[in-house]
Amino acid sequence: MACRKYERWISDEIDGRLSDKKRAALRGHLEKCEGCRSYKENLKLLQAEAGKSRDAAVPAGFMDALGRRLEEGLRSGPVAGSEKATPLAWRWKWAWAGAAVFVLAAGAILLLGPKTPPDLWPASYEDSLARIYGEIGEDADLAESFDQVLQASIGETLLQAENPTFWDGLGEDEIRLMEPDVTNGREI
Amino acid sequence: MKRIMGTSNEGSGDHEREAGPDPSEQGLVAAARNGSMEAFSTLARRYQERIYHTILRFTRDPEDAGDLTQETFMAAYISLRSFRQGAGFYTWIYRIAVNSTLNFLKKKGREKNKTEFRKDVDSMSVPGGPPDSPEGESMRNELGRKLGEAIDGLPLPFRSSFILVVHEGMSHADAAGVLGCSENTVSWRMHKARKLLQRKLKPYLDEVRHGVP
Repeated sequence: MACRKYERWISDEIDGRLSDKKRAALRGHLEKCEGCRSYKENLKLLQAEAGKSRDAAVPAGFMDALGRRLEEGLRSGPVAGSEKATPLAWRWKWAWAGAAVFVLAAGAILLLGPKTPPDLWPASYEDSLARIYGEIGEDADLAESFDQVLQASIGETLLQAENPTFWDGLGEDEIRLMEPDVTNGREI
Repeated sequence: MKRIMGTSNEGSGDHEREAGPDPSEQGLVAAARNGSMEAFSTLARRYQERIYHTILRFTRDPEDAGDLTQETFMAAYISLRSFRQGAGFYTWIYRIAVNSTLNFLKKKGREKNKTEFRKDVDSMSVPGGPPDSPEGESMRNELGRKLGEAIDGLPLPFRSSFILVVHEGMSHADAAGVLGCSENTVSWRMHKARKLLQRKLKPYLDEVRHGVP
């Protein structure tokens, strides 16, 4: 696994793009690893051999013939710089068309896409409790369990209520809702 | 080794060091942009041989290389409008040449048959002999020939990076600019190309390095 990393570093070193830090680490590794030393020597030989390759010999007159061919092609072909640029008016048309497609797609998603789920965060505690009791319905066991949870919750709230700053942080609705429970449950 | 676009592999992507715009070239380009076919022909004559040899390294077929050279200059002539004045004309045309050639090779489907790296290279016998002996010389020639075949057999992304960096002498940054990828990609491709070549040519490389045991 470690040798794979060093193999890449050897390649980078040959191309002159290995940092000094990595080069030092590579040198340390090569001192210990016979396989990587051999690999590096082989890559250096590959590089030398590949660098020897010369341009293939071109037959006499080949380049002149190529030049003439090109000139003939130019004469019979298109005009310099004739690559058509999109006219500005058309660019605007495309931009408007793109915007229209975007608006249509957004409208389709709003109208036909999945509906927003019902409001899960009622505005008041009363709404919240009414919804829960509605779901409990006639199930006595469930109603009892929920009452226990509610009582425990009120108990926790009352403990907090001993803190003088607790009431300062409550809104009027909250105070109104809690007042009977607090009054009945425990004197403050 | 030629240094076409950069003078060093340590370079940071300066494409214009050797082929930088010179006044006469700028004048010719300006005239060509104004429709002077003569000016463009002069530019084409100036660079066609270098472009041809670059393309030939990829195609290894003189006829295809000739056609692609012509195609390159035609494409350049048509799209002269997009050439940025002040940039090197040779660098610009070089990019067109390499990209046209890569597209040609992809279209021709040659690379499909070559994605599997050739396996016949290492199955051949290695001529033996000490490095300085006639046998050793023959071994090196054989290695050179096999190396050419092995490079031809590399998958195109590896081959294009290898040709630009090793044969054309570009830095990774310059090659990345021509190929439209990151330097890191070029670095990785070079590593993979070398690894494939080394694996396939190992018997030759070992023999040339050590001579006959």
